[in-house]
Amino acid sequence: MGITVLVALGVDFHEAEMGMLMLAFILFLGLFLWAFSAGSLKWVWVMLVGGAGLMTGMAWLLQGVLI
Amino acid sequence: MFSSFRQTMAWLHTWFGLILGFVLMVAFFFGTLSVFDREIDRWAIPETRFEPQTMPSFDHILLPVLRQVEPDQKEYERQMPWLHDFGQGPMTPRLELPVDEYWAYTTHRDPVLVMGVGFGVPHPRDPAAHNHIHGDVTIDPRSGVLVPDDALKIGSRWFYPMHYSLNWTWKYLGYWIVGLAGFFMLVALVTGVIIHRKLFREFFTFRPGHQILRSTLDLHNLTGVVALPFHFFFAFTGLLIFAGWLYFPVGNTLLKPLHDLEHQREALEIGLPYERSGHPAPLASVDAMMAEAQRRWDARGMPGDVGFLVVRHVGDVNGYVSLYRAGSDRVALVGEGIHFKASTGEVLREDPPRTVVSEIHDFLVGLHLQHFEHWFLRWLYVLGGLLGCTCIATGFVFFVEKRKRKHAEAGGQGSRLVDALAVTTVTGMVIAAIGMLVVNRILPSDLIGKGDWEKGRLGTYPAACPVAQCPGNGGTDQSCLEGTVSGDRGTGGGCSAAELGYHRRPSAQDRAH
Repeated sequence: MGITVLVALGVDFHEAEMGMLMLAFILFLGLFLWAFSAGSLKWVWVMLVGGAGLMTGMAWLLQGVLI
Repeated sequence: MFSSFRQTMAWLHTWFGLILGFVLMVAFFFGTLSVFDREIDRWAIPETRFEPQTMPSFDHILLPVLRQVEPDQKEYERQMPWLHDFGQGPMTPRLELPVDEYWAYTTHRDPVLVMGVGFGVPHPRDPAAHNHIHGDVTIDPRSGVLVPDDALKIGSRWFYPMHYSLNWTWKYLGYWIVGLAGFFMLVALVTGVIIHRKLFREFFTFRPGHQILRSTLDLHNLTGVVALPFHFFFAFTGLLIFAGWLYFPVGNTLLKPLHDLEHQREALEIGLPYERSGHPAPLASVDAMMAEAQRRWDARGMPGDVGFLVVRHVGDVNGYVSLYRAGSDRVALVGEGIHFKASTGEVLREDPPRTVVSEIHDFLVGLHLQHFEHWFLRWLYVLGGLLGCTCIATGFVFFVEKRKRKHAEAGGQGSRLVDALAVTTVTGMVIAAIGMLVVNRILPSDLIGKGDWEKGRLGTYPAACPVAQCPGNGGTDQSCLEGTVSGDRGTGGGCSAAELGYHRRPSAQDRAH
């Protein structure tokens, strides 16, 4: 989603990709640690699966608008 | 999961560190060796022990050799049926494939020059794909004489890929396993900081006189803290190197339409021909283009030599030559590419200055790949890598020492298993690496398929590794029986079965417990 948003804002695709990948590992690290320490398993599922689905869907939709 | 955040982090640190620690040990150890991969190549191929050379004359030395290169037989048999469209007729015979691309690459540490030819597939199944069958050669750049290609470059073609792929390329499985281990390295570092907290104190704490459990933990903490930024940085950038094309290839999957659109836009903007025109054209002097590229780099205040050159669409009017600067005087892997029309030598394009994001990315990747000339920093890399190995090894020792008595009393085999695997991995890997270098010197240099012999023997070296000591479980020093080793390669995987078999036998001390 981050890549498509940046491309929509006029950033070059590869620039957006590089930037988001650098950010992604830090984000995943935080999410991974949070997933193990979260109090509610349900909330973990909602955040991880729901978040991933939502962002993938938004990326796909935004891409459709851009091309 | 646990009542406190720190307990959860400790659990993560212990168990994920243990499971992926074996892979991390391989990645760290062979990564450390890879700092001097080209120098190890010189050990393996003594006839290449001479001073590194700059890119030689393309017109007089490289081109005559490139014209003799044939498509690789094995690659042809493996790839051609996949690339060729049988609907358009039978496959083009190997030696009739047309030349489409020349390339040559040299580094400041590599006396020999690697170069090759990309042969086109006349009737491709997917015209947009990379339809090449390759033929690669290594030459002595002083004379253009071919260096036998079946002599294994142990450093750059075995130890180095072991570092990032375990030399297990099937379905990129090795890359994925190392990537997973790299991510858990980040997890282990962050959780380690959280559970230990007193970083500054641990930096100065090592009590070798105390009991082994205490001393081991001190050493584990010390080595982890001393090189913490190094470890974090290398795990992070290691992931980053493969992220775009393997771990998160969004540009080739979900966002492929957007990516392709960008490519078309780029191709128009860059102005370099995307495909052959079908009209033949001669190749102008590439040496003159190299001289012009050097003049332009000099004018920009960055004098340098050509490190990488590519001639695309060879023999076609759309052909062009891309020259990239050898970036050994800076960290970031930048080429400052200049592109010439192949038939005339006219400059078609100079790569524009990089953006901030590119600069950060290239700097991070360049720092990991360390193509720069800075010997002191290279040795610091070695030190950091060895500290990482020590940190992981002491983590194994601590795990075993902490649990062995409890496991022995309960009749469990957990600590024995970890002990055996750890000793096999650590010592077996070192013995394997040394053994490979020794065998390389013993085997005659003109032995056909010498490289395959060296690789094939790797799995047998760990046979000499000592069996793990488990004083609590009554283990003693013994050597593995060579005949029980079954692995054909890797880092001692074949030895572990023999060791585990040994460890499963209850000792007198066990029975007493």
